[in-house]
Amino acid sequence: MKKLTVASVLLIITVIITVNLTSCSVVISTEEGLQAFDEALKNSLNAELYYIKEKINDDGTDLDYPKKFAEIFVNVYGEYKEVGNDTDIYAPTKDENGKIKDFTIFIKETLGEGSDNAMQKRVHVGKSNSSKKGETLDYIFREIIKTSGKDMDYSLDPMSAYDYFESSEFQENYALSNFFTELLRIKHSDMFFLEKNGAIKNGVGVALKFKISDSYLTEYRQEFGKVSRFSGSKYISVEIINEKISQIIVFRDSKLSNTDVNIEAEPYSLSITYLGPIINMPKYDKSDWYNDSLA
Amino acid sequence: MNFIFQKISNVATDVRAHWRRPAPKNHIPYREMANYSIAGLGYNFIGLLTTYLGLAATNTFIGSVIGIRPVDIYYMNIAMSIVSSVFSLIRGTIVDNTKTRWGKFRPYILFFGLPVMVIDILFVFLPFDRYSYTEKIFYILLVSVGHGFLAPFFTDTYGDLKSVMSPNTEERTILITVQTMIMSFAPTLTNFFIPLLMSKIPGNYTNIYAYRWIIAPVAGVGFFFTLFAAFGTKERTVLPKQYKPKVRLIKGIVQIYKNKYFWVRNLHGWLGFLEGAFGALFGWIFIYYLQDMVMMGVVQTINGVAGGICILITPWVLRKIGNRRMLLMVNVLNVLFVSLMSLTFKLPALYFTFNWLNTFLQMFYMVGDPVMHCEVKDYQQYLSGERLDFVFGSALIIGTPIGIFSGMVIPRVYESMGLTTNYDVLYDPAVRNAMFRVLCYLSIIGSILNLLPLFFYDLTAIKHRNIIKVLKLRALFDDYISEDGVIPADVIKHNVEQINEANLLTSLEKPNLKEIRSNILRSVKAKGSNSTEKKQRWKAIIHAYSDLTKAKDLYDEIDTANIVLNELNKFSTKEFIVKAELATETVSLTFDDVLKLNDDLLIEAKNITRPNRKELINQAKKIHFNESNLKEILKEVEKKYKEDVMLRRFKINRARGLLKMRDLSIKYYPDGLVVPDPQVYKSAQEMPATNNKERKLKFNALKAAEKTINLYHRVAEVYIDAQRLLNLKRAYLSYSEIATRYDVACLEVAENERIRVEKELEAKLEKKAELDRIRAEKFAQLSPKRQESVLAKRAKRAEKERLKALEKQKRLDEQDKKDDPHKEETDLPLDNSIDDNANIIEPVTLPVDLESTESNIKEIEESNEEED
Repeated sequence: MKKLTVASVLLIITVIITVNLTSCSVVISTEEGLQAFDEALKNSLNAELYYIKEKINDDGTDLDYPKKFAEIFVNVYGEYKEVGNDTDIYAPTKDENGKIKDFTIFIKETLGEGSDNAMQKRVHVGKSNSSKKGETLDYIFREIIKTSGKDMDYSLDPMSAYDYFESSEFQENYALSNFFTELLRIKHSDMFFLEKNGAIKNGVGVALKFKISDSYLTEYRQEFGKVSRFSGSKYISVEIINEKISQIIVFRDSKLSNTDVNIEAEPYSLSITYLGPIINMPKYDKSDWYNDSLA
Repeated sequence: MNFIFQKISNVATDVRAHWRRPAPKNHIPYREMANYSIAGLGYNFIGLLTTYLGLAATNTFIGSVIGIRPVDIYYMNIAMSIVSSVFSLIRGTIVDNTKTRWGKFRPYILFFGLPVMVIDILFVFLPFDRYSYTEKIFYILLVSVGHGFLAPFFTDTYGDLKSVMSPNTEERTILITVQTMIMSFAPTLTNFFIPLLMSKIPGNYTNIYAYRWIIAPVAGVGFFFTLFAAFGTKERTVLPKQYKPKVRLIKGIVQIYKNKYFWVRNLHGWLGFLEGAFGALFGWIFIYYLQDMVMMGVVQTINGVAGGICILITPWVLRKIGNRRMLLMVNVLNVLFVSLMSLTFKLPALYFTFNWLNTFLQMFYMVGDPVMHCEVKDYQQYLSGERLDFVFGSALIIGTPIGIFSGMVIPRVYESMGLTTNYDVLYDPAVRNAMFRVLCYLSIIGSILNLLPLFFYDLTAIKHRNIIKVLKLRALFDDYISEDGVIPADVIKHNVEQINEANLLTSLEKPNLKEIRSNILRSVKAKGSNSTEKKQRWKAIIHAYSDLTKAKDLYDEIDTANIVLNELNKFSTKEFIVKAELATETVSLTFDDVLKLNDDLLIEAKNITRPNRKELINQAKKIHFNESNLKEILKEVEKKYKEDVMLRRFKINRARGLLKMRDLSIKYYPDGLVVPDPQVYKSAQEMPATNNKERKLKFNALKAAEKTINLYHRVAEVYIDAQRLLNLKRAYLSYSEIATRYDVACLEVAENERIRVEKELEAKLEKKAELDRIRAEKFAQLSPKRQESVLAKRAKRAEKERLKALEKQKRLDEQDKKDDPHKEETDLPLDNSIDDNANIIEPVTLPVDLESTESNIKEIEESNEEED
C-alpha cells in the first residue's frame, strides 16, 4: 500500500509537471508566423458578423498623442447556425434573398474626454418590436448621452440594418476593414519579430509580437497626414484564434501612476470576436425608449 | 395539520417567553440566537462580492471584465496562497492573545468589517478600463493582499464566536441549526434575484456596472447585518477542566503520514483537479450562450432545491449503505453524469437536467467527505493513541506542490482554447463549444482518476465501528488509570458487552460467500417458462442478493471483531512485551542516571541488525511443505519482519528520547526535574477577571502555567510515555477484575437511567408549569369577552378529547374481545387511579418500570400540544 501510494503520487506529480512544462505552447518560425498572420487577416475580412472593442488610452507621454481616452464598441449581429453536424463551424443563417436573418447593429462610442463635455454616442439598428403588440419594423435609434447624465439628444428613424451597414457613415467609420487599415498596410519587411516568444502557437491560438520599422511609420505619416497608431510603440502584439485576428495591442513604455516604476502601457487595443452578444433593441412605439438602454 | 400548528404555537410561546432571558439551564436567549443568525445572512451577502475578488480563472469579474489571462490569475493565486499562510500565522497569534471586555472575537467583527467593505467596494469602482495590463495586475494584487490580511479577522471570528456563546454542546447545536436555517435564505435570495437584476444590465456579468450597481450594494447591506453579531451577542468563555499539553507539530505530522487512509483521502482530493473543469460551464452557458439571466436565476434556485432534498435523505442513505459505499456510488454516478453533460451542452434543457442530478449527487459528497475525514481521524487516533485534529491541516502541507502544479492545468487549457484576456470569445460558438467539449472530456478523465483511490478505501462502516469500540476500550483503561480504578458504570457495561460480542463473533464460522454468489448465478441462469416462474426467478435473485449483503456484513463483522480482541490482548504480544520491558527500564532511571547517559546508547540501538525480508522469505520457502502451508508461513514471516522493524525503530527512538531528555534537563532543569503542580493551572483558571487589570493578570498566569506544563512534557516525554505504557499494561491486565463489576454496573446504569428519566419528566413538568403560568398571565390580560371565547374553545377541545379517549378505549376493548372472547368488557373511567371496585395500585419501585414513566412523558407532551 505504501509503495502504491508513493508511486501514484509520484506519477501524478510527473504527469502534471510534464503537462505544464510542455503544455500546448510551441515556438514557431517567423515564416510560419507571417503565414498565419496573412491567413488570419484574410479570414477576418471575410467575416460577416463581428463584435469589435477598440480602446484608446493615451497617457500623454507620447508627444504625437495627447492624453485621451476613447472606446468604440461595434456589434454586427445576426442569426447563425452550425454547418453540418457537430462540426463547431458556424455560419450566419440567410434568407431567400441571401440576407442574414435578424441582422442587427449596435454601436457605442465615447466622444470627447474627461470633462463635462464627455459624451457617448449609441446607435441601435435593426428590427424593433412594438410595446403594444404591433408590427415589428426596421428602425435606427440614435442617442447622444452626456456621461455626467445631464443632456441627451435622441432620435429614431425607419431604416433597416442592411441599409445602415451599406451607408457611408458605417462603412467609413465602423466597418471591420477600417480597424485593420494599418495591418493591411504593413509589409512583411516592416515586421521585426521579438527574439523571445516572437511567434508562438498555443492550441487554437497563435501569438505574434513584433516591432514596427521606422520606414513604415514615416511612410504612413506621409500618406495619411497623421501619426500611425504604432508610433512610439515598444512592440505590437497580435493574437490569432481559429485563424482569425482576435486581438491587437500596442505596448509602450510608461511609468506606474505617480511613481518611477516602469511598466508597459497599452495606449491602443483592439479585440474582435466573430459573434457578439444579442442586441436588445428598444421598442419604437415606446415614448421613453431611450431609458431602456443602460450602460 | 392540527398537530403541526400546535407544535408551531408551542415553539412560538417558548421563543416569546425566552426572547430576552435564556430558558433555565440555557445560556443564550433567543434574541441572541436570532442576532447571530442574521449576521450570518449578512456574511453570505458579503460573500457574493468577495467571490469576485477570488483569484480564479472562472471569476467573471477578474477574467471577463478586467481582462486578466487565466494563467496570470493562477500565478497571482499562488503568490497569495504563500502570503496568506504567513498572514494566518500572524493572525492566529493576534487573535489568541486578544483579551477585551467584549471578548476575543466580537471586536474583530465590529472593527474589521468596515475596512474590508471599503477595500472590496472600492475595488469594483477602480477605473480598470483606463489601466494598462501591468497596472491591473498591480491593483488586483494590492487589493488581494489587503483583503487577504484583513478579511479573515472579520469572517473567521464570526465562525469562532459560536463556540464561546455557550458552554453547552446541545445549545450550540441548536444555535448552529437556527443559524444554518436563516443563513440559507441568503443563497436562495441571491441565486434568484441577482441574475434577475443582472438581466437589466447589458452584458450582465461581463459589464462592470453590474458589480458596481448590484453586487456592491448587496454586500453593503450585508455588512450592516453583520453588526448584529457585534452588538447582539455575548461571549461566555469556556475553559477546559484540565490543561492538556498540545501534541508537537512535527511529531503529529509524522504520525499522520503513517495513516494509509490519510493518503487515500488526499489522493482522492488531489486527483480532483480535473473533475471540476466543467464547473465553469454553468455560468458561461447563461452569460455567453443563452444570455438569459432570468432563466439563470430560476435554474440556480432549482439547483438549490437539489441540495435541500439531498440533505434530508443523506442520513437515511448513510445508515442504509454506509459512507464508503455512498462515496463510491456518488463518484461512479458523477462519471456518468459528467459524460452525459459533455454530450448535451448544446442542448441546455438536457444539460441542466443532468447538471441538476449531478448537483444532487454532490450534496451527498458534501456530507460524505467530512464523515470520511472524521473516520480518518478516528483511525489516526486508533493508530497513534492521540487525537490530532488540529495537526491534520498542517499535514496537508505536503500536498501544496501538487495543488500548485495541478491548479495550473485548467488555466493553461483555457488559454490553449483561445481564452486569454478577451473573454468575449466565448460569445463565438466556434470557440466556446470547442472549449466546452475539451473541458467536459477533462472532467470525465478527472472523475475517473478521482474515483480510483476510493477503491483502496476499505474502512467500512463495520471496521470503523470496531475501531470506535477499541477507542472506547482505551478510554475505559484511561479512566482506570486516571481515576484510581474508579470507572463509570456505563463505560464498564458498554465495553464488557462489546468484548463479549467480539468473542462470540470470533467463535462463529465465516459465511461461505463463494457459495452464496454461485446461488445468485444459479438464480440468474434459471429462466422461467411462464410468468409465474419468471416472477419467482426474480424473487429468488432478490433474495439471493439480500443474503449476499447480509453474509458480507456478517463476514466483515467476524473478520474485524479481532480488532477489539487484539487490542485487549496486546500486552501479550511480543511487541508490547518488549516495549513494557524497555519502559520498566526507562522508569527505573533516576535523574542522575539520565544525566550520565552517553551517546553510545543510540549507537547500540542503531547497531541492532536490520531484518532482511528477502532472506526471511527465502528461508521460509526452504521449509514449506505445500502451497497453503507456504502462504501461512509467509504471512507469519511478514508479521515477524514488521515486528522486528518496528522494535528496532522503537529502540532507536527511545534512545534518542533519553538523550534528548538528558540534554534538555541540563538546559532547563539543572537542579533537578520539577513535575508541574496541576493546582497552579486550576488556581489560574479561578482568578477573577472583572476589569482589564485582572484579565491581564489571569491571562498571564494561565500562559505561565501552560508554559511550565508544556516544557515538562517536552523534556520528560520519553519518561512520561514509558510511565503511561506501564500504567496501561496494569490496567489492561486488570480487565478480568473489571469484568467482574459488570453485574453491579448494569444495575447502576439502570438506576441512573431511571433517575435521568425522572429528571427529564421533572424538567418537562417544570416547563409545562412555566408555559401554563405564561398562558394564565396572558389569559388574565384578555378582555372578558375574549376570555369567554377561549374558555368555550377549551371546553370544546376537552370534550373532543374525552370522546376520543372513549372511542380508543372501545377499540381496545373490541380488540381484547377478539383476542380473548371470554374477557368481560370494562368501562374504565378516564381517571385511572382509583374507582370504587378497583384495587389501589401500589407504586412500583424496583424493578424500574421505565415504560410507565416514558408514557407519562408522552402524555404531558400530548397535552402540551393540545393546549391553546
